[in-house]
Amino acid sequence: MIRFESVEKWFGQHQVLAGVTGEVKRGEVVTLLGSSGSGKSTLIRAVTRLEAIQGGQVLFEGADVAGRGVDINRLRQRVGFVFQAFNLFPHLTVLGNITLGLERLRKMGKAAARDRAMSELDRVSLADKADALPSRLSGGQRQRVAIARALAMDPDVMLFDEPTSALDPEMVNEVLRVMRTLAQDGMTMVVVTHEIGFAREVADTVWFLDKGRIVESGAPAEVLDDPRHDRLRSFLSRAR
Amino acid sequence: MGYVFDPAAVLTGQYLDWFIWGLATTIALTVAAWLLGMTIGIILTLVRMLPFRPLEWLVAGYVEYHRNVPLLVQILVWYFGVPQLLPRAIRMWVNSHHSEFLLAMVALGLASAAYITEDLRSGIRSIPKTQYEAARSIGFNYLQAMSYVILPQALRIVIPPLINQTLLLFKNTSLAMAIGVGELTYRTREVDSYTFKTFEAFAVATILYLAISFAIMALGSFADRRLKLEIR
Repeated sequence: MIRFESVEKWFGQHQVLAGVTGEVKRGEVVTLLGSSGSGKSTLIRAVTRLEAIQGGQVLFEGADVAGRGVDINRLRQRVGFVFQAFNLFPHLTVLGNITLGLERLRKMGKAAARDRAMSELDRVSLADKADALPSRLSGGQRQRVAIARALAMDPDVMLFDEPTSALDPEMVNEVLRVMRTLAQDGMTMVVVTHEIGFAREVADTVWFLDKGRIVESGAPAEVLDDPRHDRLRSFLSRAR
Repeated sequence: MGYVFDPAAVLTGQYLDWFIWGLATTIALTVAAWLLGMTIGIILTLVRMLPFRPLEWLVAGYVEYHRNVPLLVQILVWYFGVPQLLPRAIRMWVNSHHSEFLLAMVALGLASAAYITEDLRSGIRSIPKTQYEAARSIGFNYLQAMSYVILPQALRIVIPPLINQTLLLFKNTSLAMAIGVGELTYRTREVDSYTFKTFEAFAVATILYLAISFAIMALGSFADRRLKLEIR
């Protein structure tokens, strides 16, 4: 579904992605681990062209996302993106955040959009907050709304960029619970995270990035329990 | 000989009518120029944010002209200069349809737009880039992200400076008397020259200007309270 082919990216003189190659299959949950600065966020941001790359290709369903024939806005509707800082729209209610895309892009009527949004809110257990402004929600609730907002567009794949890193510890679990259910429902997911436990339990595949490369990848059991790479070993010992 | 202050003398018969018409014209001119200014101001803001440098310079030039040339000069240019550039048919039509009101509205509106786009730009700059990213990630294009996500927030942030611009615009409508628009100041001068009751005439005008200014401020702070962004 998503294929990275020798992806390279520089920020000035600094190379953040140094030839990443890998594939995310339909229905698969891939977790990206790595210390900060290893390039994992940049990699998933390249999928929807939030970051431009300078070498290699990112393919979505076989087509280069930077290709001439690609309608990037259409592609972004098919790829849900969840940010570390939630990025809810503060001038809209929880419901308004979700219906905006449905009404303006999916051209749904108000009532249909509302129904759709409510069912997504139900899925993240926040139906009772539909009319609240984002400022009145806790961090965990905001992130769940952000997930519902992305899901409402009915994406083929969901990308998560450190979805729990900005949360207080006691709110991490409510977000992870939603993501776990999503994975069980068969959603294709790419998750940048520091939650080793989540990776072990939910991921089909773990990629460990270091200095812009995938240095180790495989099933969580082999990668996390039997790390071959020194960098991964020290990363895991620090994470525990 | 003592001066007898007698407001009633200017508030009767045709003088009262003149004041009422003058006030109505001032309000109509303010509203029309405000709408034009907001529209052009928003368009200029969207244009200058496009990643194409020459457009940015073009808008910068627009802003500098309107901020640095006296408004009266701008109004005179529109009234005496621009119609000559128009095709004859349009010129005839404009001249027979209160051209002075129309051209004053254009001059005032365009000048306001220059200030409004500056305010809006600073408002947009204060909105985190991540908001734009989130909008684009849902699948909105530049214009949609701006109109549904960025501008609604920017407008709320800049309500206080926009109130100031509105007050300035309202007071500047008095300059339109120079091209014969029958607004409040023009009518006041008329009442004055008919009655020689200078103080009374201008006292009435002053009170009317103050009343409208206060109304604009009240309306503005009401809007500000209702729409204020709750970020945290």
